[in-house]
Amino acid sequence: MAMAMKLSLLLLFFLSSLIPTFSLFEDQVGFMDWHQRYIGKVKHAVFQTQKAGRKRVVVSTEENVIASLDLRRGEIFWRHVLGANDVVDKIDIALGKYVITLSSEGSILRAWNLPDGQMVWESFLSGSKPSKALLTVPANLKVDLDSPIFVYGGACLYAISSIDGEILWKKDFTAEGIDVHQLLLPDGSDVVHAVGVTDLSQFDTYEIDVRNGELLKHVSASFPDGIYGEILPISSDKFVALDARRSVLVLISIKDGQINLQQTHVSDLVHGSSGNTAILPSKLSGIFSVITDTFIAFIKVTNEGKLDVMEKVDKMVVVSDALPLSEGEQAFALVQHGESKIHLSVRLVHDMSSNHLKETVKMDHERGFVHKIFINNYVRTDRSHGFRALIVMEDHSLLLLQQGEIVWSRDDGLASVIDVTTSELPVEKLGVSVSKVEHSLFEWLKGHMLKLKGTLMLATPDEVAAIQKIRLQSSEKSKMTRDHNGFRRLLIVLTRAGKLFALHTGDGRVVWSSLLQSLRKSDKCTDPIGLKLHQWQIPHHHALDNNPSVLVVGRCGLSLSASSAMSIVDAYTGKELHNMGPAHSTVQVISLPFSDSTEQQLHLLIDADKRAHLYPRTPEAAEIFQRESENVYWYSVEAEAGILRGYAVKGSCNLEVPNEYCFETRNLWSIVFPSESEKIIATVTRKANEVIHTQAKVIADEDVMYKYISKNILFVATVSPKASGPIGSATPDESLLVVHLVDTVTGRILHRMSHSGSQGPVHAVLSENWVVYHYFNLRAHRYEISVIEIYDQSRAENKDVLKLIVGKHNLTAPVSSYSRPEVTIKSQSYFFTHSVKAISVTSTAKGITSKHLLIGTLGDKVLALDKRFVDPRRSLNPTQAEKEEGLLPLTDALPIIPQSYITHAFKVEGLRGIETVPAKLESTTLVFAYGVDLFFTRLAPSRTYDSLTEDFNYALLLLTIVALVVAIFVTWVLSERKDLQDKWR
Amino acid sequence: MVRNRKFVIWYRSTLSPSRLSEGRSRPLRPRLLYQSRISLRSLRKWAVDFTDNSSTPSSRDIPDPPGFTRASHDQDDSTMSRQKKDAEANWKSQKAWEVAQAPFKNLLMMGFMMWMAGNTVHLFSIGITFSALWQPLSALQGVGKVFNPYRDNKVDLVGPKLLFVALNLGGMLLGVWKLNTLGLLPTHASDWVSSLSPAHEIEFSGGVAAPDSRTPPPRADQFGSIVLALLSYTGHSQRALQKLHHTGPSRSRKR
Repeated sequence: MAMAMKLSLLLLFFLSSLIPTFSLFEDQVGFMDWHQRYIGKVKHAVFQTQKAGRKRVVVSTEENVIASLDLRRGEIFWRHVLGANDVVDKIDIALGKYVITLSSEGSILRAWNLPDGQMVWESFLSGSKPSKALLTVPANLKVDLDSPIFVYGGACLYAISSIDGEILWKKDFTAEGIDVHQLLLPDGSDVVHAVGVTDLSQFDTYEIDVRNGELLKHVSASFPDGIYGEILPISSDKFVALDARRSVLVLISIKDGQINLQQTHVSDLVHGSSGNTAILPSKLSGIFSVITDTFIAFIKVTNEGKLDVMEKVDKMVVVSDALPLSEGEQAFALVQHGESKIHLSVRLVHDMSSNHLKETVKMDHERGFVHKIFINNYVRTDRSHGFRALIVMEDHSLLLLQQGEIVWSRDDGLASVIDVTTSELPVEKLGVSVSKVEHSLFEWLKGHMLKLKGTLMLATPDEVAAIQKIRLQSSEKSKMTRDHNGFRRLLIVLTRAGKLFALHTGDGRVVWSSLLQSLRKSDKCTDPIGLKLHQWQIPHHHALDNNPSVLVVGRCGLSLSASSAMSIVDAYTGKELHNMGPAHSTVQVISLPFSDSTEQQLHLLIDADKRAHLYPRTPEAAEIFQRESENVYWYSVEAEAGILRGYAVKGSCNLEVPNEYCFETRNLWSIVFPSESEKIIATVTRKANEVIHTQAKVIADEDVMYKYISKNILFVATVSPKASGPIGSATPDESLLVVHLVDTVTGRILHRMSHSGSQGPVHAVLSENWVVYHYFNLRAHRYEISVIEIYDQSRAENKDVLKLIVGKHNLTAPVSSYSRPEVTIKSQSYFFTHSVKAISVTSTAKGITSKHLLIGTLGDKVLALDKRFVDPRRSLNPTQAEKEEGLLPLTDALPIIPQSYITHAFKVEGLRGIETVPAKLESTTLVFAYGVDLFFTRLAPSRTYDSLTEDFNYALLLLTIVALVVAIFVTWVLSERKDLQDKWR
Repeated sequence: MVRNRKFVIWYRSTLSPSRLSEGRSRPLRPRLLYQSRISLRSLRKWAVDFTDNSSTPSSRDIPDPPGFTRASHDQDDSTMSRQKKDAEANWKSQKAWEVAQAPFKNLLMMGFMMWMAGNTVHLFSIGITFSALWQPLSALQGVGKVFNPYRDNKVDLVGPKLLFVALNLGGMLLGVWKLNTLGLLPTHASDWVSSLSPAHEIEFSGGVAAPDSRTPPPRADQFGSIVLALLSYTGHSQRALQKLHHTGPSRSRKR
C-alpha cells in the first residue's frame, strides 16, 4: 500500500514536471508584468515628524489598510491590509514608537512597530454588546512605569498596557446602559472621564480612576428633548450637544459636581438656518463649528457660558482637526474650493480673525472637491511655524501640500476598482522620420549585440545591468499605438469614487483619468455609486474614424429602485461624450449581441418595474431590436427570495408618453427554491465575449464527444439555510450544497447535483461546456474543487465519416433551447488545499489554446492551475490511449506547484477580481488582478507556440545568416578557382 | 591582359557510331575555335571544326561512294544471327521478370523497417513512411525506363510490367496503412469535426447574477486551513493525513 502510494506520488511528480508552468527567471520579473500598491481612501492620519529620522505619516483607510507613508515622496514604508470585516476604527501613536490601531468595532487592539511595521502585540477585547469604538492614548500619563491606553468598545472601558497589550482593568458599562461618546483625560489628572448619553435623554459623566478602574464619581442630568448626534467636548468641563429636533444647542457645563444645562436656539445664533443642522466633530478648544444647509458657523464659548458666532464660511469648506502648537496654542486649517484651484488657510484658535497662513494651490479639476484635510506643523529656520496639509480628494487621491505646492500625490482611488473593461489603442500612423529609424536601428543592433554578449557569457556585470535595463524599459511596450500581437491595450477601470482611469497595459501608467459628472454628488443624485462598465462602441470595420467608447452605468442611491445615471466615455481621451442624467431605475444591464451600423453595441437596461429600456436610442437600433426581439430573453436572480425568473419581451410600454425604446416584458418561467432547504449563495454565467473554437472534443482512440455549448447556461449553487453561515456553524448532517445548471431561455434544469456535508462559500467559473466550483467539505475538513462537464447527447450519433465528408450532418445547423437537447454530464471532485477569493479562467482570441484556471488564493496570490488537472475523465489507471490524449491519473488532491503562481513574489492585497482579456496572439492572454493592489501580466497557457520569445536573440540569427552567406561566397570562389586549375592541368 | 583570356577548345559532336561500325570514316576537319571573353577577333589565327556534316547530305562536301546506300544495313539476316537473337530475347524476358520481382524484396525490407519504427509519430517513423510512399511512386513513374533495356519485338513485357506495378502498389498500400496506423489519415469522425465551430444559437438570454452575495471566509476557518496545511507539510502527522485521505472527495449524488 505504502509502496503504491509512493509510486503514485513519484508518478505525480514526474507528471507535474511535464505540465508547463509559468515559472519565471529572476531577470524576467517586471518584463511583462507590473504591480502597483495602493492604500485606498484615507480615513485617519497621524503624523510622526518630531524627533524622527524619516518623517512619516501613518494612515488608516476605508479599504482597512494601515500604512506608513514617506512624507517626502509619498511612498509606502510599510502597509498592512486587514481583512474585509476588520474595519479600522481609530489609530494613534503611543510611546512615540508604536502605532496603535483599534478595529472590528473596538474589539481588536493592535500595536505595530513604527519604523518597520512589525506587529508588537495584539489584544482581543470581548465586549458584551456592540457600541462605539473610542481610543485615547494619553501623552504623558504614567501608572506604575506603564503608560496605559484607554479603549472603549463593546460597552466596556479598558485600560491596556502599551508595552505588552495586557488588559490592566476593565469597567463594564452594560448595566448602566450608557452610550459613551467621549473619553477625556484632562492634563495632569489621573481620572478618566467617560461622557455619554443614556437612552438618548440623559447626559452622564463617569469619572474613573486610571489606576484600578474604580468609579469615583457619576454625574447625570436629563434633557427631555433628547439629543441628536454626538456630544462634543469644548473643554474639560464644557460640552455641547444638539437636541433631537436639531434646532437647539445645549451647552453642558459641570461645576463642582453639578451639571448646568443651557439651551440656545440655533436660529437665534445664526440666521437663516433650517432643520439640517449638525455639529462638526472638529475638536477645537473653546470653539465648535455648526454646519447648516448653506454655511458653517464657528461658535466660541466664553468662560461665562455665552455663545458667540465668530465667523460664517461656505458649506463646501472642509475643516481640519485642531493641531496643538506650543504654549497651548491650537491651529486648524480650512480648505475652500475655487475654480481649478483650492485655497488653504491655517488659523490659530485664539486669533480667529485673521489667517495665520493662506495658500492657493492649483488643482486638477479631475480630482474633484476636497473631502478631508489633516494638518501638521514644522518649525522653520526662523522659528516660526510652517504647516503641511494632507488632503483627501473626491476621487480618493491623497496629496501633500506644503508652501503652496503639491509635494506629492497618490491615485489611491485605484485601490477600489469596481469594474474593468479594455479598449484597443489607436492604429499607428505613417510618417516616422528617417533619422529616428536610423537611430533606433543602431540602438536596436547595439542592444542585440549586448544581448548576444549576455548569452555567450561575455558580458561584464555592468553590461548585464544594461541589458536588464533595456529589457525593462523597452519603449516598445509602452507605446500609445496598437501592436501586432495585441499586447498593448488600455485597461479602463471604474473606481468606487466614480472616477474612470485608463491604464496602459505595458507599464501600468495612467493614460487619462476622468471624474464622471454623472457619478458625482448633485442635487438630483445624492448618493451615486458606479455599477458596471460596458463596451459601447468598438470600431472595427465600419466606423473606423470613431474612437471606441465605454458605457458607465451607475445608480443614485443604494436601493435597486433608485434612478440610474449613465455616461458614455471616449476610451482614447476620457471625455464624457454623453451624460444621461437621472432616468429610470436600473436593476440589470444586458449587453445584446447586436450592433448598429456605427458599431454601437445595443444594450437593454431593465428597471425595477421589469421594463426593458433600449440603448442607444436611435430608430436604427429600435428596428434591429424589433427584428430580433422574439429571440431575446433575460433572467433575474432573486437571491433573498430564492427565485429565478425568466422573461421575454412583450411589446412597447404602456406609458402616458409613448416611448418606442421602452418595452414591456412578461414572465416566462420561474424556479422557486424551497426556502426551508435551499438558499442561493452563488450564481455564475459564461463570459459573453468568450470565443470557442470547436464543438467537438477528441478523446482517446480518435473518438469524439460533442460539447454542449450554450451561452444561456446559468450555474446556481444553493445551500441549506443552516449552513449559509461561516464554516463551522453547521454540522455535516445539516449542511447540503446543491448545484444546478439552468437553461435561462426555457428555465429547464439541465443538471442538478448535491454534495452532502458541504457548504459555501462557493466560488465558480463557467466556460465552454464546463463549470468548476470551489466549496468546503465539512466531512473531510477540507476545501474541494468540483468540475462538471456537459456533453450534447443529441449530436453523439454524428460519427459516420462518409456523412461528415459529404457534409450530411446537423452539426452546424442553428440550435434552439426549445429543442431540449439531451445532455450527459461528467463530474469529479478533488481536494484543494487553499481557500479561494476569486476564480477566473484564461481566454484567448480564438479559443484554441488550452485553458488554465486562475485561482485567487487567500494569501492574495494568483495561482494558475491547468484545466487538465480538473478533468472529470481522470481515472486511476488510464489506458495507453488515454495517456496519449494527455489524461492524468486520478489523484485525490490537486497539486499546487509553487512556480505556477503568476503573481510570483507579489501579493495583490485584498484581491477581489481577476479579469482575463485575449491578446491578438492566439497563445497569449492578458491577466489583470485587482484588489487594493493592481497586478497585470500576460500568460501563455500552452507556451508561446506562435511567436518567438521576447528574449530571442535576433542578433545571433542575423550573425548566423551573414556568416552563412559569407561562407557560401568564399567556398564558391574557392571552387571556381579549383575548377580552373583543374582545367589547365 | 593575358590572364583575362580564356582558351577553350571546342570539339563539336563527332562521328556517329553507326558510321564507325561500317568502318567508313570521313575526313574530319578539325577546327580549333579560339574564343575569348573579351572577344579579340583580331587575335584569331586558326580553328579546327570537328563538325560532322555527314548526316546532312545537302551540306555534304564529299559524295557517297558507289554501292553505298544510306538505308539500314541489317537487312541481311542469317540463321546464326536469328539463333543469337532468340537467346537474347529469352535472356531479356528472364531479366525483365527478375526486374519486375525486385520490388518484392523492397516490400519485405520496408515492412520490417516499419515494424521497427513503431506506431508513434516521430521523425524516424515519419521518414520511413514517407519513403515507403515515395519509392513506389517514383518507381511507377519510371516503369518505362526500367523495362527499356529489355524491350524487344519478341519479348512480351506486359506480364512483368503488371507484376512490377502491382508490387509497387502493394508497397504504396503498405505506406498508406502505416500512415493510417500513425493516425495521419483522416479516417475518423474526429478528423472531420475537430475544428467544427459551435453551432449558432437562435435564442439569446442575458442577465447578471444577483448582487454579490459571496461572503468572505471567517477568520477561524483560516486558522483551520493553515493548521491543515501545516499538517500536510510536516511528515509527522501521517496518521492525521491518512484519516483525511480516507474520507476521500465527497461522493456526488445525482438526483
